[in-house]
Amino acid sequence: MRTLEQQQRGVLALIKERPANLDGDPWLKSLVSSREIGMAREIALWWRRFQIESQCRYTSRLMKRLGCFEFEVANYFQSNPTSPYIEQLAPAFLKLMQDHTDSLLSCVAKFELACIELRSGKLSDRHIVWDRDPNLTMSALDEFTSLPVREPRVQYLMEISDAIPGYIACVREERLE
Amino acid sequence: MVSVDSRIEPRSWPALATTYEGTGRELLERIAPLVDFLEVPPDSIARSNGGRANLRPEILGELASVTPPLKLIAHGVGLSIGSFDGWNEQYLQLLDQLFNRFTPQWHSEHLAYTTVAGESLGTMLALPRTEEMLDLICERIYRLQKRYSVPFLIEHVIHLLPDAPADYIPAEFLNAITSRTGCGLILDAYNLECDRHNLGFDVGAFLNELNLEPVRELHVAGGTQHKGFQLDIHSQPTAGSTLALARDIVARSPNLGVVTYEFLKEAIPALGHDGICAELARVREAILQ
Repeated sequence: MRTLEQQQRGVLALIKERPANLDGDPWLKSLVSSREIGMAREIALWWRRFQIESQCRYTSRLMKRLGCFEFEVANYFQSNPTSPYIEQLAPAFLKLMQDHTDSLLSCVAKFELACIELRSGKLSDRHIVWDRDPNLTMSALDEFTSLPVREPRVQYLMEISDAIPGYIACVREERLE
Repeated sequence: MVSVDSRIEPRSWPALATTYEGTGRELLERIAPLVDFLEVPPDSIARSNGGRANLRPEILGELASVTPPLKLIAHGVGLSIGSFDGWNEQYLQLLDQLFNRFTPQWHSEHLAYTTVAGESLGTMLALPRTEEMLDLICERIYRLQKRYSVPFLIEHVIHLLPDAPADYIPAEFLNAITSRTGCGLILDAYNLECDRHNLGFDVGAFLNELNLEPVRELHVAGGTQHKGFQLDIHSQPTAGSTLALARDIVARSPNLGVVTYEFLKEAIPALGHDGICAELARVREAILQ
């Protein structure tokens, strides 16, 4: 039997699927592969997915198309402290996704994060370089239609700033190879 | 310490309450005439900004605008009263803000923990029923009773996990808390049904062993099953079996003041405003008449 602290830290590790030393606590050991701890984890993940879907609509929709939504939310939940406040959870998740190796996902996450920061009055000027038309991209995500394809030798330079009328400016630019 | 007995007037029959999480004036105007109390979860009507949470002023305004004024009950989710490393001070700051604007009839929290070392579990878990936990919970309840001038009630939660090694059976543990601290108790008929379904919990024996005198509030709700688990997600109308259990608890609890129909704001699109109003009428008809 462990102390209360050890027991609660052990339960946290099991729910988050993190490594934990459970020696000396048969109860914690009995939970490791149990359906009950699996259900507790599933409930926690369901709520995080629900919150992220409601607040990070475009990023979530793109991730679902890419087939990585559930994995990335689970990965985020496992590796990070997740805030019960959606106002903290959504930006934290988007900050992680803006560094994603998929360049389109990275752009959409950056754009959505900038919109959240703009709404909360915390935006510092943001520049996003897209490899395809961002308007068509967001419309496709909004209307569940086909995403535009990447345009070779073209980039769209987007600036988001509260100093710009309408807050967003975007310029299409031919790239010299 | 404010004893529950001195502050909640027992009624000849329980009053009716329901959840309000700041989901819009239209719903508030529909439900207000149907209930005697509003259950307000401070966590759910807060917004976090810059790492600090504050109650949303527009929702406080909505609550203040109800005429005739409804009595409020503050029902917490995020205090995490059983965390080894202390409770969530941010929740108490929200509660302070609510008390600065209104005088809830009482406030309550779940007998559970939601954070460990400051990190959110993402769900709510029941506490081990040990001597150590009993001392910890009672000491924290004393502090709550000292801090706020209205009674404090504690609510049992569903058991997602099998019981940890314990010194008390469930009813004994609640009896020890209420007798030591004088706090009140919320029973949740749906939670009891979840435990019966998921773990084979003997609800009848529990109610026979429980001191029902401190029970001031009863929760009813409806939920769903997933992979064989009955989930504590208040998204459905109340099942007939839950109402039958609630009727039994009402009949046996001499100081019960309020029956609260709980639903999640996320379930409102599915339940519909008409559905929620119909459910309130159904609960009142089934239990309160």
